[in-house]
Amino acid sequence: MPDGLGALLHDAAVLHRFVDFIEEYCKEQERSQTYIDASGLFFRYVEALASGIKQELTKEITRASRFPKRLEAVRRNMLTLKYFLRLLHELIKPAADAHTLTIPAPLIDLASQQLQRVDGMKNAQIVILLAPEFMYFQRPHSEIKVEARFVASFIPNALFPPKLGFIELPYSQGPNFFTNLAIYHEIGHFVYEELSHSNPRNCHITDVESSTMRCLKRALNKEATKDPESYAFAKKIIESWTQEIFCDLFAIRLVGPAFSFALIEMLGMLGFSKKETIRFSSSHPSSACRFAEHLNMLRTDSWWEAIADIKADQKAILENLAGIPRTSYALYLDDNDLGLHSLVTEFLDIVVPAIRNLVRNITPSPRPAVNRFKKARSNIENCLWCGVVPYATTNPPDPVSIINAAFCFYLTSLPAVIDRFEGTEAARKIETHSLWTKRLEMWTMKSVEDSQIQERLKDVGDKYKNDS
Amino acid sequence: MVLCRKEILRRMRELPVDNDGNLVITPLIDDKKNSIFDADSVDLRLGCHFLLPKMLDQPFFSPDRSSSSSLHVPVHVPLGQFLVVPAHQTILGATLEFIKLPSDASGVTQNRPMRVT
Repeated sequence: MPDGLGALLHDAAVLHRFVDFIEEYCKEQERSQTYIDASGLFFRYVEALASGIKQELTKEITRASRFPKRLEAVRRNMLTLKYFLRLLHELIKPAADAHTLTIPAPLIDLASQQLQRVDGMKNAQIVILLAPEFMYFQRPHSEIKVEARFVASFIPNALFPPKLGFIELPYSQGPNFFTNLAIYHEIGHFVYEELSHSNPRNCHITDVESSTMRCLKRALNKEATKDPESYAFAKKIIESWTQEIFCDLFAIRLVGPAFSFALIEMLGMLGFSKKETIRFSSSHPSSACRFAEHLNMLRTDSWWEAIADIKADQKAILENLAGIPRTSYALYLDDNDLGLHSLVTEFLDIVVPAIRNLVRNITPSPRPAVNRFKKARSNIENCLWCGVVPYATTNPPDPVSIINAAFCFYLTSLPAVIDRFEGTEAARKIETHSLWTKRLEMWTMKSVEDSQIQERLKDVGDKYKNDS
Repeated sequence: MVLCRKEILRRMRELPVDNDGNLVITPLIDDKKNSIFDADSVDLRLGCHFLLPKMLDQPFFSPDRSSSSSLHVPVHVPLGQFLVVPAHQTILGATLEFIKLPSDASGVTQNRPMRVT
């Protein structure tokens, strides 16, 4: 046996055992649970990769025993594989936990369909991960894609699905409907990441990037501009704020005011103080700034007018936060002597208009959705008032109308419904409120699912007519 | 008295949802060739959610709340996929349709046996 082959064989056997387990684990999950399409695609990729790695390891060991000079190359390839498997390992278990009984599958399906209608995101899909952290998060996937491309050069049968995003939900919020509207923001991060790496470059992303440069030039003092470290730090801050504002506006364009209400609910659960409402951190713009942008977009898109008569605390919170003057916004950083104090003003003046423009250009116009909502709202609310899954005898309501009308109903009429069905005494109990919120969410989810089924059948019918 | 097709349709289409006599069946997936409305009945479809029986977690049965959920495993079967029921086994399945019955009527569900040879 050539020198070093014994150690390589040992390493290969350890790796073989590891990928064998991963392959079997994914197959077992697919056998025992149902997953959304994107998760299935991801599992099948991992299975193909694991199978390919096992075959490749066997071949490489045979080659290395005949040609000892290959030992070093095999070692390098194995290191690459190990690094890539470590990246995938973090995703597999949370993806396996997110089967269709633990996530709001109709909402995820809807979000995926809407995502595919965004400019440059055709065939994009989202894998849902259930995470232990109490936050929604989009796992940056560019590194995985780069590594996957490299791995595919020696495991050719395993091609990473193009435009696959990974979004984490807190496991406790998995089955909920309303708070999970926050995933639209995370989908925004996925879209931004994809567009930032698109080839050819999206011209509106280029505009945002050049506005970032202008903003930095105006905000930073001369010393800071010359210092590459300070410049990079300030640039990273602006890029983070840009993405956050982009994602909020993107979500509003896709799902309307329900997203703003969901975010308020989510922030309420996390708990946010008055000081935090005006505070810009290195990663996020202040809540006041974010909600000012929400309100601006909702007004421009006519959503605000469509929900003008809704008297809900969440709407008042949104208006109050949005009304905080921008002169009150403050930047809190540990090290703020780089002349970054004017970063906020320049960001609002120069970068934010470019973000608004980007969002408007890549998302479909929400006007038709607003008009459908106006027409369908009273019927949807009436159904919920009667404890019935929202439906219509002629034209079924569309999912965005259902979500917004149901959310408005939840914010304004839930106590009255409980009172109607359970009596005044029960309406004062927390458990009853919790139970009826769950019911309302289930009816809403069922209605969204029904709408998707009818849409799919219509497509099948149209295709059948065209074919015949 | 059994509601006839005409009356079923009248209650579904003409009476508003908040009327006591209103009947709701949704989603209504109906086409002219294969109508789900019969002379005095409506064909329902199996939905995506099922409860499959399972062995008890404990070696005894106690008719309490916790046992009621430990007797079944929830299963989701997406539309277009299938579920094989082992011979002599009974499973619980929800209909695809949500139904709201009028206050003056009750419903009877009957299975439609299909023999596969």
